[in-house]
Amino acid sequence: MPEPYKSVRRVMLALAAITIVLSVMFATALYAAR
Amino acid sequence: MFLIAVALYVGAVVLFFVAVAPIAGVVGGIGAAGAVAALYAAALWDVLGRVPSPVAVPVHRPPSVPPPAGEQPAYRQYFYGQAFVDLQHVLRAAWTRTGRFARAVSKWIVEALFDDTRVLYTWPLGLVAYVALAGGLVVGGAVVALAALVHVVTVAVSVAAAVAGATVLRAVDSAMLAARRIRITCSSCGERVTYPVYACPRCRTRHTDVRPGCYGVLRRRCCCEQKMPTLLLLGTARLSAFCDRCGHSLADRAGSTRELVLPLLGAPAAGKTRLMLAAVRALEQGWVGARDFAFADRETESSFHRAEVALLENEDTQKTRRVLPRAYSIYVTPREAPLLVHMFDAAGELFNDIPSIDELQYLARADTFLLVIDPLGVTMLRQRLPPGAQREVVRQEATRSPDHVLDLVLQHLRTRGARLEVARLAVVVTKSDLLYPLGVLPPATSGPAVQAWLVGSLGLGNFVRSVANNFGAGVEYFCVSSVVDASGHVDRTVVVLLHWAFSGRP
Repeated sequence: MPEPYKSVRRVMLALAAITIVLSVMFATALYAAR
Repeated sequence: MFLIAVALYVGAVVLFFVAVAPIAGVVGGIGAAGAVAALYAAALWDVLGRVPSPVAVPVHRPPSVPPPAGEQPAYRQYFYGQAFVDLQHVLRAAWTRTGRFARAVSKWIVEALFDDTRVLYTWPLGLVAYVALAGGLVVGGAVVALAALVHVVTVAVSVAAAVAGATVLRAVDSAMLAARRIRITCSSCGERVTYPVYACPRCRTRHTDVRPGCYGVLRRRCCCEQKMPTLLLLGTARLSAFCDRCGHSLADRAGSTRELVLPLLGAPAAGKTRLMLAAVRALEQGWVGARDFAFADRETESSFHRAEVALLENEDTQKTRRVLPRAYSIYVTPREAPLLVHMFDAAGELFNDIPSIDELQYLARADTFLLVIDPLGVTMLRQRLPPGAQREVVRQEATRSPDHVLDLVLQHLRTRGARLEVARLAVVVTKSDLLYPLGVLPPATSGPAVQAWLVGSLGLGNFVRSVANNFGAGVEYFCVSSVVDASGHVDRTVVVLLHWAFSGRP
């Protein structure tokens, strides 16, 4: 089964993970500073 | 006793709700929320991270070969559709799994904590578990919604970047070709190639438009999985290229350098083929001062080496077939920049009438022309020869007058809207090696003396006036001898002509 999108999906996964973590950290920081 | 038992029971329940339930509820809620978040992360991983994906994600497969109109035999670029399909599947998988998790936990609570036999003792725990589950689902759902929103935004930004990048790169590629004045001419049909068709280096499937777009921004993936560049800047010139009109192969590295389309015009037996062979040999041997000579395709190389034998052995060249000619395409660097030269040598019979000339699409693409004249074919000169010499040369003379060829070519160029005001013409008198023993040689090998000789000795006054009036970028006159000496050196007159041909180029 060819997997043409393997690399770009991995990049998207990493990007999604990083942005989610950053968003959670940002939200937490905002909440703590309230 | 019963009242004491009830009081103890109520006390224990109250104590539970006051002391234990809040902690248990919070812990349970955090657990449930964490489970929801983990299920979303697992869905992300299953769709984007695992190969093959356990989630059935449809992928847009390239169409079968040959592809239907408008389709390319390549995978669509990820951000032109598949990214949204993946996003949809992540959300769907996370939703389904969360629902399954909630139902499973709920069922366990009912079965374990609201069982008829012990419900009296376990219902507070069940109630707390339910509340914790509900709270966890709400909090976890909110976290997942935030993560999904971030994912959606990431995909949307990536899609916008891909579309913008493809558009910009396409424009840059076109602008760079225009700025470098690079145009691509088909060596076979002589037509201007809008954009070459490229063959996949692995499966040879042809891609009609490899430029950045929905099949790839910097690279595309052929239906055989082979990656291909999308721009000349990124190396498409290394691929095998084909004409988008006739389908024949283009010169190697077509589109990487400027081109010089050099048509040879003239009557049958005027000496066009011999002149072309001598010109290519002079360039190949480096006598023009041009560097980096290379045949631009195998056809030119093999065809030249076959035909060159006649030149080297000073024999008649083969009669050019009355078919659309394939150009002799060569790379040379006459000055700073390399140049792809297409020399088109059509059979003289194709210059006999307009319908035949109209087949020569390359004429309208050229701005430098070589009009070859066989002086022995001009009646006025031939009549001046001694009778014996007349019989000798009749075998080799051209049969059509230069005026006739010029008129038809001009008519063709005008109807095709060619810009004659920027066109240059070299009037090339050939066979000077035959003129010398007959004592009718022009007084010089180039310049006004040859022009004056054409007017005075050949009676071509009208012809000379016509070319001067029609070719706005200049007319030059040459008298050449397309022969090689015993050591294989091409006559100097051919070299002088080539210097002129390249003088209008970088």
